[in-house]
Amino acid sequence: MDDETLIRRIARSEPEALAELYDRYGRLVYSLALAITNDAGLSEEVSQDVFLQVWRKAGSYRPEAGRVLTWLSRIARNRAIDMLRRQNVRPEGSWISLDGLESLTAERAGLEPFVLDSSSREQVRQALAALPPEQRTALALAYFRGLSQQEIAALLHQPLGTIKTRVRLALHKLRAFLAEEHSEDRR
Amino acid sequence: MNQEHVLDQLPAYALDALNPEERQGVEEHVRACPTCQAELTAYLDALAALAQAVPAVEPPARLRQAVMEQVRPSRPSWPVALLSSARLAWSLAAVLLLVSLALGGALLLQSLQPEPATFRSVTLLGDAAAPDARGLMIISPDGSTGTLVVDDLPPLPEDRQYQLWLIQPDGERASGGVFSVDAGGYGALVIEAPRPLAEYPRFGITVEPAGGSPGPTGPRVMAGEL
Repeated sequence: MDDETLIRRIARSEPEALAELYDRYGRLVYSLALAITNDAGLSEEVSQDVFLQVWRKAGSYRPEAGRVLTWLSRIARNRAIDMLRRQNVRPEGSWISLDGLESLTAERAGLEPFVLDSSSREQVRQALAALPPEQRTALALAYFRGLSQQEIAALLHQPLGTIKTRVRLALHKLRAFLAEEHSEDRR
Repeated sequence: MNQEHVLDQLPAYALDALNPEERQGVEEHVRACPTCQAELTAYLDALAALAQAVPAVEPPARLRQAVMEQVRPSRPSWPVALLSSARLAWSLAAVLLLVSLALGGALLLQSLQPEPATFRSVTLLGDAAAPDARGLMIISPDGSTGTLVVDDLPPLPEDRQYQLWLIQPDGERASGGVFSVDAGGYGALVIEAPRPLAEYPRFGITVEPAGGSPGPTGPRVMAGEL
């Protein structure tokens, strides 16, 4: 059963469909929350909230606005950032490195990537590795810390215009790289 | 909003990294522009790939159970969703306290007995304007009175308050009272209803001028059904 069908079934309040969605993406949601909050308890809370939100809002999911995975990871990321702000947590330690998402390129022993097959995951890593460090940092601060461009500019003591350019280029390149890899796959 | 595309701003918009004014401008444009919608979707897909590239960590097994318990067909007891986190446990304590103040200790004690527990509860969920908001309405056993507790509703400016609407089967709306929330988004209201609460199948909360309006005028932020 594809993801969209699952979401339609969830919209009809079928708990089994939510269980299936959890089995597919529970680890992704939890791992993303953990990457953002660096707190296992908060990440559990975020994950519960995310799937509850999916349960309630499945009816508002529109396939034309993006894949289920895109929708779900966006909810998860936003919820984790909310939690981060509310707790006023400054994630430390194993939290995603601001210096350029290096930890994304370091595989943790014994853990399989969940949804992406290893080649797709490798593509994302390559795409990130190909970004200039200052663009990676801007992207990481925006995505994993939920900072606005203004906040990033203040934090890094850079002009706002510079940060805007970095954010734009970083995501644009990531997107272009992934699109290119996909089209190569099809050849 | 002018008609020019907002392509340059779409990456930051996808990241939610624009300031509020910029965001509003982009939002308005994107809503009416299929080109920019498609571009935005592509950026959001790229971010989803980024999400998938974080180190994979296996969640504890209890998480699956906790997720599923939240959505079990409605139980007669307190909604699991509100009980599921320690952070919200104090909300329950507040509900119990308010219920006891509103309805009298005897009723509360009665409600805690296993058998005659006939309080009914209505879960209110946040709309797009307040997606994280949660609310719980407790209706007395005879359906005559009730108490509303909300959490994570955005605090309002001083000249605005939230207003609870009791919606009759024919769509007619009666005010259930006005309330404000604290900085943490928490607020409570002892509901004043012209008719027994049990006669209203649906409930809504809107933003209104302080003191309330005769009928809803502002945006709806929460809704729930009996």
